[in-house]
Amino acid sequence: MRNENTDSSRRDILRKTGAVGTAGIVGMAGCLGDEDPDLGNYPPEGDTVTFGLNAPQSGILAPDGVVQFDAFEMALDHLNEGGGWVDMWDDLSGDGVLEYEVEGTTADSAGDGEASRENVQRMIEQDNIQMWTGGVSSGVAETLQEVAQQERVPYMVNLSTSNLITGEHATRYSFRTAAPTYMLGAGVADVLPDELGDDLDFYQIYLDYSFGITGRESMLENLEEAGWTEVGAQSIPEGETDYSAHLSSAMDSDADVVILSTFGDALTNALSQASDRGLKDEMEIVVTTMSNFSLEPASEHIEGVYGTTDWNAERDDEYSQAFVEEYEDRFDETPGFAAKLVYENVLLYAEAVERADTFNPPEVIRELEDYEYDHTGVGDAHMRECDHQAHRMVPVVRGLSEEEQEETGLYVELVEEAPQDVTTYGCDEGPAADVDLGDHGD
Amino acid sequence: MSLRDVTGRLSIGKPTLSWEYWDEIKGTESFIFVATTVFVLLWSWLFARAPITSAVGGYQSLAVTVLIWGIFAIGFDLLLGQTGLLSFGHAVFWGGGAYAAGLFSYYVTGDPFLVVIAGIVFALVLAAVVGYIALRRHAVYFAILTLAIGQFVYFLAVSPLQEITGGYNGFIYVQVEPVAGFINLNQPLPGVLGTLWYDHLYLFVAVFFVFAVVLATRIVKSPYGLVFRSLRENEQRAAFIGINVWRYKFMAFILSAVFAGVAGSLYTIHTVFVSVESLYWLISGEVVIMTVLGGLGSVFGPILGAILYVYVRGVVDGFPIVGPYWFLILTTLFTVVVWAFPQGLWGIVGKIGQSLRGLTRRWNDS
Amino acid sequence: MIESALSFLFLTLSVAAVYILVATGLSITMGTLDFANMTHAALYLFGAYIALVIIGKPEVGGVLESAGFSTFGLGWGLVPAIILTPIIVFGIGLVLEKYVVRPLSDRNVVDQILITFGLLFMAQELMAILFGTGGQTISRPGWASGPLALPGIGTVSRWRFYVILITVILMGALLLFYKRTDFGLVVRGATQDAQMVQLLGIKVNRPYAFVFGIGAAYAGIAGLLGGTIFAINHELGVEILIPALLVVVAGGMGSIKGTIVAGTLFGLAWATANSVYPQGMEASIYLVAIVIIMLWPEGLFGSTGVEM
Repeated sequence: MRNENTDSSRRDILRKTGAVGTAGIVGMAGCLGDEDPDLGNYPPEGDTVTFGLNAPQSGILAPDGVVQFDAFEMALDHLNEGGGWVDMWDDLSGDGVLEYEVEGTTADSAGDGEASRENVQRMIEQDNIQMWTGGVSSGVAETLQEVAQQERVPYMVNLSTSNLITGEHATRYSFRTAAPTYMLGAGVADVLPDELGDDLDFYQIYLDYSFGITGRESMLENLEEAGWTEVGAQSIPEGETDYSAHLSSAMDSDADVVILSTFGDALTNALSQASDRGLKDEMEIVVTTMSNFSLEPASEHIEGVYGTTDWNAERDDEYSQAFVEEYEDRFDETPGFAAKLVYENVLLYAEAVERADTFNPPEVIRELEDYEYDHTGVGDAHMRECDHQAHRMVPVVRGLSEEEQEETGLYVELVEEAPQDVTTYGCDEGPAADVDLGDHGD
Repeated sequence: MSLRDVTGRLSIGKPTLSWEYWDEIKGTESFIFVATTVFVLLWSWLFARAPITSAVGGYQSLAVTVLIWGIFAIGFDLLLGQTGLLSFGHAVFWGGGAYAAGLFSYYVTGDPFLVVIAGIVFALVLAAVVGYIALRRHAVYFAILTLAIGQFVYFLAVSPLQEITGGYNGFIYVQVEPVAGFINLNQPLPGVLGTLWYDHLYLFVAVFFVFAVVLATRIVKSPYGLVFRSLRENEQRAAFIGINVWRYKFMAFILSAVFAGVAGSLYTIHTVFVSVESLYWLISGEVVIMTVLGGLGSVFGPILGAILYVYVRGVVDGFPIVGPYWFLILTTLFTVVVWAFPQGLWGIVGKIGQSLRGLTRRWNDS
Repeated sequence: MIESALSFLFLTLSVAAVYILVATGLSITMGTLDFANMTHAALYLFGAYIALVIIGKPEVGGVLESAGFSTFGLGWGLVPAIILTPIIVFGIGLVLEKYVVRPLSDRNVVDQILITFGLLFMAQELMAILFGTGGQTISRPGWASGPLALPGIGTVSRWRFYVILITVILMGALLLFYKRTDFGLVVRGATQDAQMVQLLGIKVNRPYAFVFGIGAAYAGIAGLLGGTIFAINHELGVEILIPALLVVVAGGMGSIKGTIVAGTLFGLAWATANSVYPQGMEASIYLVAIVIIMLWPEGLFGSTGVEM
């Protein structure tokens, strides 16, 4: 099903002919000899390498995008000059990566698939990136995974939680450290029945595309297994901001819990409309993914709302604390998980390059595959070979009141972490059952 | 149409380097064919690889994107520039063609020519339906009605039809096979050819581009074109002298939709993906901006507009400092041009050319 | 049964209210002043942002943040904003009328659409540069938030109820203005036949500007109301423009009654789709608009002028 003919070999020729083109068109036939296994943008030219960030500076995802640019800048500085995790991780030197100085190139994804593809194409063809990362909506991430595979440039998926990314649409050249909704569902099902009670009824409102649909399915499967019952579910088209009708249906259903699989401005609207309707007095609200970009504008409506995050700044392991400290020193604000994911993804890739002792993508990929680690602030994690998904714990959290937010600089507090052995699933189970990664390219 | 025609004219006996001679040949189909061919042969190299442009230049896949949008804009000009009808719904034909091409490549065959034909056929059918509905209204109503139909189709594709379209995720199963079974579009070209054109895909798109320019020129110069323009000038008068106004408008609408369908199909082949945003009204807005900014009523104006727009969107947006303002730059430029120079950038170029000519003439006289 | 019918009606009206307020000014401009003014949606956008900075002290991004403002706003609260926002946008409307509408009034309609569209996009990008591209929300005081128990309907959003109320009052006032004042008479007359009114020795420029300002003020208050229900971002204007245009065309350009009826029909289609076929919610209003324009070429209430 996947288009396996790659653009990468063409691009090598392009770069070479481009370089020769500067000297004139004539006499370039000799340049096409194969001296090494060129692939994607490997090998890098000169003594610098470029990493890319494609993240939203505009559009509905923007509030989480801006911090990613900060975190990206910090990650590159640490790689080149030391600091933060780079000093704590044995394989990283703080003197560039494989002694190449690392440069960054960034682009505004605008939360838009077309723009993202164009950006990534530009970064690959013009800036010769060795890898890229950045949080985009799930649908966009799924199309970029294909680009990564075709162009033979590794892509560290960020922030997108659809199951399909490390399920049906997984590719060899993409990895994800963030937890998919399937794991989030398992986490919620592990923690919430203890917190709220057994045998509860729940109603789901979900965005009518990959992120929402897989979120709803994951909650359904895991929560029904835990003894709760779905009494109704309604999808809402992407782009719709008025949740009043959906909230009415939820209230009419007499459910104990309403689960929202939506994000960004849409979630802000849903939460503020829910508190306007007095929904919180009658039922509990659960939000599948609580990201800063959704929570910041909705801050006055999130008290007592349950949900999951990918990571929380109050976590007190040495890596989380070191990251928070560095980030606060530099930018004077508490980082959310969008920032941390960028930082961690850039460093995990750089570390794999150091271990492989080459930027050659297939070898870097093999280093990341079946990699067990515990130095990214999420406890024990395992990047599996079968689905390129990091299997790790899931924090279940609860929204804070506005006063508490002001005191702590955080939007949510930890209720409980659902451990790795609860959230993980077999390579033949759940989303992983549909994986077909494609080849390494060598 | 051939090089011989042009060289034949060269031997007529007039001095070959004179304004009179230029005026005589510049509008001929043969000249336009040759000029366009020379342009596409050099374009990819100039845009992506020439040493002079490397600092601020584009890159290969964007060079292809420019040609594709150029085809779209040329077709759009047949409607807006020639007949004066402003459609805000042409995303339907671009996106519809793109989807038809993508689905056809997956379910039937991935031969690029057949894929484009599938896109054309679907755009044609859509245009017949949309045109039938929308052309019953004039001016503002026509613009708004096409906008409404476009958005209706977009929202259908996003949610109710997502089983087919992939909804917000788009359609990712596009299959592009070699042309006629043996010319792989992604196959790089060797040596100098590679420097110039890079791969077969570029040549494939370039062929359609040249054909689009020549066809558009022929339409504009044909009696059809004359009628189109008479509709723009005064629809009532055209009706008085016995022209079936509706029929000609319908023709212009369908023609422009076919260009859009070709462009949309090519874009699918280019990106091996169809996004649902290809149906969103912003696509319609973008083609309007390109066409009007470049200059209405001439074949080259819309191409100029496409080059500028795609360049700013794809390259300038990555520049430091000004990058985030790329859209403001474009909309400001657009607004100023429409307000103060309704003939667009191509018109400005023409005016500059004329005043230069005036200068040289005065200089010659003195 | 009655309860669900009433709550259905409430839903319909709460969706329709903002559409109607935005579309009113647009309808007047397009019907009465014969000017296709896409920049109208920028007035809605301005209304939302003006309300944002009058009511609270929002955290901002963009140039304002770079200029040293972590928060930017007056923090005067909701009531001053309800009074001041339409007045300020009225002023913006007068400026727009003088420097854009009048100079462009003799240009053809395609040029009008294109230029005002360009200006709308410029306004949008300016807001993005000033305030950043993240979403903003306006927090409302206690009396304007939380649920409200309505007899026969059940609990509804208190603020939504007020929004409907404010819309009804504003639309009623406008109808009275048109019907009862000399000003309204002149405007109606000018819509029918501008030359005739001028021949009678009446200066139409002033009433035109005033009427334009009123339309702007209504868009401004709509921006406030929309901005207090939904999150605010710089794309708000463009997003409201398309449904607003459809309301105008479906209702009949220049007809206030038509605008009200068409806006309500859109709300009805939306609410119906929601309960019958939620996937089609977004598409529903476009379908309704297409059908109406096909069946009633001039819109539901004609386009021969402002009607009662």
